[in-house]
Amino acid sequence: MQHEVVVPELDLDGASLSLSGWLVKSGVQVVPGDPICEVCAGDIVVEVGARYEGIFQRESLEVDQQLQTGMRLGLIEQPEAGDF
Amino acid sequence: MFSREETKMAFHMLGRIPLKKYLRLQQQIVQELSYASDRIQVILCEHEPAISVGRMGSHAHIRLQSDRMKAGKLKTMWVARGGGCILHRPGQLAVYPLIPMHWYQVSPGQVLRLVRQAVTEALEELSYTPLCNDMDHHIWGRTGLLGVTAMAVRRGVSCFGNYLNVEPEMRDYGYVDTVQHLPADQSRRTMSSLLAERRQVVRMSEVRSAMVQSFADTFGCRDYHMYTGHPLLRSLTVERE
Repeated sequence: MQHEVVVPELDLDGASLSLSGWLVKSGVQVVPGDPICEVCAGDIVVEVGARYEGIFQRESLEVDQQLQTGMRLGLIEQPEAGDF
Repeated sequence: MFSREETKMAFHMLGRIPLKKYLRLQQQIVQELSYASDRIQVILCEHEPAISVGRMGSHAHIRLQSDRMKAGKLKTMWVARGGGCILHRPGQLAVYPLIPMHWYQVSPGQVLRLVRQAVTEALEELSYTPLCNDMDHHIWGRTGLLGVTAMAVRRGVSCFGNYLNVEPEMRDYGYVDTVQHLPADQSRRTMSSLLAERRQVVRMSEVRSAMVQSFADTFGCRDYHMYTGHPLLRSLTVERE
């Protein structure tokens, strides 16, 4: 099963969002709460965390790239029961 | 179910503390609050001279020559918060609201707005009304930028906060561009102070008291606790030893 990691709603009208850094590499096992990346919205930076356990695969986004709310940052892949 | 009327707050007065030491403390508090917490912690302190650079800042915003940096014992620190370059000095009040955001049910945008509201109302309590501006989350006056709000959210906990220039020594402030986008009625990117704005003595202790009451009111807390120091500071000191 795959779960999308997206840019969250920050409730900042008109703020320009950008990716200020990745905090985890592709292919790394994450658990809920693990920080994945940092989104900068001018006066505030917000860490985006994993909500599921699994292997994280990030999108090909560069640091400082402009982002939009809801944009996909990556996927968390959970192995199916039969995959073991 | 959570109700804003049940908000619990603890205010910690740290006095003067080096920025680097505060950042280590903040990291520990965030870690503690991210696991389980039912209260907001607000840290009030002043920092030794330093320039912190947030994610929107760059060396180009600091127009101080290296000899002047050395003479002023100013070190630059890159910090993981929003906003640009901020010169810290005693006389500047740093207010750090550390809020477990899921528990308090608040968004990053709301946190910025609440912090600005709390600082504005504290100043109004001191009979000073800052200029209105909806373009950003800072505190502006006739003489320029009085307070800057620069924050971060780590592990679901808000950190960093507002830096209000009460009565710092103003040397070097004119060489540090703190904001990049100016409201229409402003012309300077550097910071001014409450003392310059009001042209009369402003006591730090009065500003601190007004700030405590205003943050408690703004965040809907009827009953709060005040402490001198912070219990986690002791463990930081022991770690270094």
